Amino acid sequence: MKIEITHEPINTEELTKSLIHNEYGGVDIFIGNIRQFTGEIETEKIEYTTYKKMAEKEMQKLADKVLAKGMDVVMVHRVGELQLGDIAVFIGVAAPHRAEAFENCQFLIDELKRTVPIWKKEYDRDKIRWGGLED
Amino acid sequence: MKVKLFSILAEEIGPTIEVDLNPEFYPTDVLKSIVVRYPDLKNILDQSVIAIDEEYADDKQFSLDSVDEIAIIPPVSGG
Repeated sequence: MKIEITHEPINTEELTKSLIHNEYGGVDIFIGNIRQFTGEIETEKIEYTTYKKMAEKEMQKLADKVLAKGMDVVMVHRVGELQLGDIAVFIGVAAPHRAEAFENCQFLIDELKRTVPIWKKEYDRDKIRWGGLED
Repeated sequence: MKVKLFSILAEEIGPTIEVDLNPEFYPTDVLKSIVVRYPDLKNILDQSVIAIDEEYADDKQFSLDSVDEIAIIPPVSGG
């Protein structure tokens, strides 16, 4: 199990290896990276900030729900200034069978986006946009 | 009470703001008090919620004595 918010680049290979255990037959991984185009909007970079202590607590609460079902979990989010193609988030779930791995990995990324206090400031070609905020 | 700010609110106001609260208060009192001082930020504050001691706060009464940290959480957008 690993929960982390870091300024450093995310080492996907190392995190993936940490999820391979003999008792689990399936590992599902979600990687979120900085996308260039959202429709017509062109993004140049994204700056992520966080309320770190609370964010790690909220990530732990989510992980605990999956760990309680006997699976292994890795959740790592990078913060700071990220460029196009940089990896912002890595979510991995190891489970006895693939269906549970898929389902719980989706649960973790969906809930992370909904509840964990991390914010993106998107530097788009036309203007700056704050993620999640309605005009 | 010093209240922590993040994201767009930290850029607009600063990393913290001093807010006068009654000994017994509701989380929404924190937001209301800042809206009065920063009416231009009403739209953002209306979309924000309060965290007390690093937990999302229910809309119930809290005692200032038993609270260590208050933060305003604008809409989150990780991932």
